[in-house]
Amino acid sequence: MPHKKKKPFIDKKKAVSFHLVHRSQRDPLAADDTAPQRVLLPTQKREDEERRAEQRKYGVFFDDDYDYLQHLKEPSGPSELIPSCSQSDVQEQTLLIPTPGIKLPSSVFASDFEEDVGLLNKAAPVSGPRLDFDPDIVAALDDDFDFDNPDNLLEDDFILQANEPSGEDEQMDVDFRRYEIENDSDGKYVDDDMENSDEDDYDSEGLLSDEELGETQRYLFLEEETKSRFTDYSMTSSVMRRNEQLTLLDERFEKFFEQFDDDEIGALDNAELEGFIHADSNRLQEVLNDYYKEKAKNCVKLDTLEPLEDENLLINEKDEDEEEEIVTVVIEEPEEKWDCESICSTYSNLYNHPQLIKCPPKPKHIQLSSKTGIPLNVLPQKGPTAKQVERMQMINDSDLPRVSVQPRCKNETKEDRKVRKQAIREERKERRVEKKANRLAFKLEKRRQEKELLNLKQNVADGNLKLCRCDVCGRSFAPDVLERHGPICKRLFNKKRKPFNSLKQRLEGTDILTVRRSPPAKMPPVKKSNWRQQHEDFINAIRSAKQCTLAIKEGRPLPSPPPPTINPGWGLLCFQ
Amino acid sequence: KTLVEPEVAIHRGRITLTSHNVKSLEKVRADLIGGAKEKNLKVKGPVRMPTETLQITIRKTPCGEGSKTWDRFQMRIYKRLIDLHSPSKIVKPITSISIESGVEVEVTIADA
Repeated sequence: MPHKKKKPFIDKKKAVSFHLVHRSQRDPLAADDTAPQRVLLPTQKREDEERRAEQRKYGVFFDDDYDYLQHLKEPSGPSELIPSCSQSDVQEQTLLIPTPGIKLPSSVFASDFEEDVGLLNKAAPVSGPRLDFDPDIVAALDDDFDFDNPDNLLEDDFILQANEPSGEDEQMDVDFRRYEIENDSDGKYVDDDMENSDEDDYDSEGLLSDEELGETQRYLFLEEETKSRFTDYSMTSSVMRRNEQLTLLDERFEKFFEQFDDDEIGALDNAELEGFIHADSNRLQEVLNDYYKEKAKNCVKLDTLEPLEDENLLINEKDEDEEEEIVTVVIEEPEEKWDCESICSTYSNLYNHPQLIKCPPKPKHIQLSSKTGIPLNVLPQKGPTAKQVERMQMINDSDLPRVSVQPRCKNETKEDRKVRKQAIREERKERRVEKKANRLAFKLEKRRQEKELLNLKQNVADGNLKLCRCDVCGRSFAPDVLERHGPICKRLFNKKRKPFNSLKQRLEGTDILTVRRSPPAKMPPVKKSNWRQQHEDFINAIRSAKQCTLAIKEGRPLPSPPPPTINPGWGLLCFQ
Repeated sequence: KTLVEPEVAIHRGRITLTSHNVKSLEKVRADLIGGAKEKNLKVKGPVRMPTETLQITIRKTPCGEGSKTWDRFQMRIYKRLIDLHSPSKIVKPITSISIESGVEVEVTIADA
């Protein structure tokens, strides 16, 4: 099949992308169980450069790929209730998305309207001074409250008074959003006729006209001496005790905010809406109805309060009953669970000595000595030789005890000290002399060696070309050396050298004579011994003697005697 | 004020799941596909894109002293794609699936 371009599943240009995120806590549908808690948030795919330019407008000068614009918060401008998207209206609407054709249920998207206070924050208890309470309450909570003043005490039946439904409610400030907790106390506590209206930090969002309440408020404030710009909005200055510094600050603030007296500049916190609404209008009625409903829920009626006393007694009795009962509790013996770790820990340390596991030491290679071939470090070390021992025992000059190294005895008299110091000085002097001599000797030796080296180098540098031959022996020398060599060579070259007589050399200086011995006396010529002849003669003689005796016995004529071997001389030769 | 569209328009949607934690990612993916299959939607199975490994190798030392040892840090990004053909009504329960933390879900819807 020829390669066709695969049709992409989604054409990016016609598609819309969303991120799936948790619904905002400020979304009114967050409290609604039927609405999905996750919403689709359209992604804004913008070009990087455009985005960065946009970011720079707002003071973000980073050049990375992150979209910092998502963290920009809109200034809280004037906001209004829009009836079509109110809480009661949960029916689904179809929303048109930029690309025509894609229609998704609206509950999947975040609501257009967002409350100021998120769902989680509503449950959070307000800490700190609750200045939005009735000023009387705040005053009562203050430490300086004067309990003896009759004006400050509550009547005994104040609750009944509070529960009377009366037209006083109409004049109360209706804060649409704070009907839950804060207004509980406001509803119950009705003190003076003058304090009908709550001096809450109210948001006049077109609920009640300024004109209705304004007069009463101003009337009340005129009563009090501390009037400033700020008491129109908050209770701080009139309730919290002002010491010197705080008053100073207040005055400073007053001065500072004089510049903002201009009517055109609105309040810092909540915007004021100017307008007028009829007291009979439907909107107002609806709002009031809702308010009553909530109040009815939260209000605690008198009826429910009375039985409390009895209940308390009952509870007490029950407690006593419980104490009398003896509860049998079965305690099970804990089963012993053995595992390999725990059984080992029961071993006694007398036999079981825990130790760190070490690697077995590596056996070292046997090293042979290069000289002898015997393995090193096997045979016992040789002690010092006799000569070395002798040397060690010899007393050197340096081994002699010196005064400087001897410890100073504690109780030293002045004279002793003087003597000791003197001795030390002498030693030091001697040592100095020694050192100087040594230094000098070394210097000289060094110079001599350097000179020789220099000479050698010179000769070598010359390249052996300037060596002259000696006439006598034929060896070549450097010219200056040749001068020295010449006469010596002449004298000695032809002469034969005597062989070295070490005995003579060694006997030199001793008293042993080194005279030549007399020639050894010649011995008389050695007679050759003729023992063989003599032996044979003897044997012959004895044999013949035996023959002779035999013959005599038998009476035979005598045999002839053996022939003589000795040469008798010329005279006797013929006889034979 | 409220309009109810009688036609059931089928949209093509691509859900992109991104995370650096495989287990939670796979869990979300299984939930989504399971939910979609219950409603008998046409689902194209999870396409596993190759994981991106972001690596940084830096010196361990805060100063320059010592033997030069280096730390190697890694972050792996896993991406899965799921394609759906669904009518617009069905988008709602899909969005109500509980999602693990750390998993980013992006939905791209196009006209069928």
